[in-house]
Amino acid sequence: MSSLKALDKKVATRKQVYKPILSSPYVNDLGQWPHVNEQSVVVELLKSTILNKCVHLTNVEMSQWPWSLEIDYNKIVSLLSEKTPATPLHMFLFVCNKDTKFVPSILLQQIPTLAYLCPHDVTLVQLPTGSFEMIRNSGINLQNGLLLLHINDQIDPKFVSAIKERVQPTTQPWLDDLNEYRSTQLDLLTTTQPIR
Amino acid sequence: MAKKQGKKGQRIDENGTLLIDPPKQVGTNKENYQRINYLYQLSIFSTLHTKNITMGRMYNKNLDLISKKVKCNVSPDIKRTICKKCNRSLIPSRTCRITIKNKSRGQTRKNDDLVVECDCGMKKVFRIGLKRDYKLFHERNVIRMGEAKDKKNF
Repeated sequence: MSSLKALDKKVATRKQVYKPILSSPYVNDLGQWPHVNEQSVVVELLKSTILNKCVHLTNVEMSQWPWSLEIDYNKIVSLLSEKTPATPLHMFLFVCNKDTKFVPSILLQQIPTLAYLCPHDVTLVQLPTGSFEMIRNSGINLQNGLLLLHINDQIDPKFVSAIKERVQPTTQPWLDDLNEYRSTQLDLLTTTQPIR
Repeated sequence: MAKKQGKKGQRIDENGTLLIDPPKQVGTNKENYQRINYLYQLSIFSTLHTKNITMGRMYNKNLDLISKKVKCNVSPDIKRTICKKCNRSLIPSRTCRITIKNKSRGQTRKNDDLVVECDCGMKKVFRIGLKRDYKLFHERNVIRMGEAKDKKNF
């Protein structure tokens, strides 16, 4: 025999409704992050060239490392926001955008736009799920899912070319001109309302 | 989710909610949504490609008024890129600055705030440190319908 509470639930008190909602033509776009071909190869390259060596440098200050790495969100954003730099820099920006458990999505929402508008040569590389923990395990105290690597003489040119070959350039056509009008994209929001 | 059979073959879930299949297409109020979408794109274009951003602000103000008047819901992704005070389109490095601030003495990660500061001085603060894996209601309950084929309307 079922309980009164269970019997009560057999009679619907609320009903499911679907409300239309206007989705953003730009921000929510899946093509916002540049596509990476052979993502596992890119991760392996990063691991073998940079991360495996960082494990042995845990006792050394980050400023004294053989390559210039940046993990602080504010510093990275201010570097990307520079309007007229004295010398344009080349850099790789590795982003753990798939690790939503550790990195809030709002934190990285504007990074592709920043990278695109920035006067420096920035290659945006999105990393697969689990990369956040992988980088942390290598001795880098990654906090906000961003790892900026300055490309200079100390970085192996083969590593640079291998990454650049596999990552497509950042494109934000909506920032260039209004030639391409994005059509209206309506989504449905699932919610409930009481039955009268 | 456990489903129970109701009286007339209705599907009722464990919380007593009557389950209904989503509609195949959204047809109501479409013109107003198109108008809002157009205004949003126009405001971003005006902000980036013209020296005077007043027009962009005006488009955003209209967007806000129309969405309220005709009861068209706008996604938080759009609303987060518009300043509530001056109606500017918030584009990083152009019209706003993004920083992480931490006011706690111990600088604990729990107290991290993402601050988006508009050129007018208005600040949007997101308490990202409290729950890093937090997802909005919109993100959890949205059904993507794909791009509507309404290009010929413009």
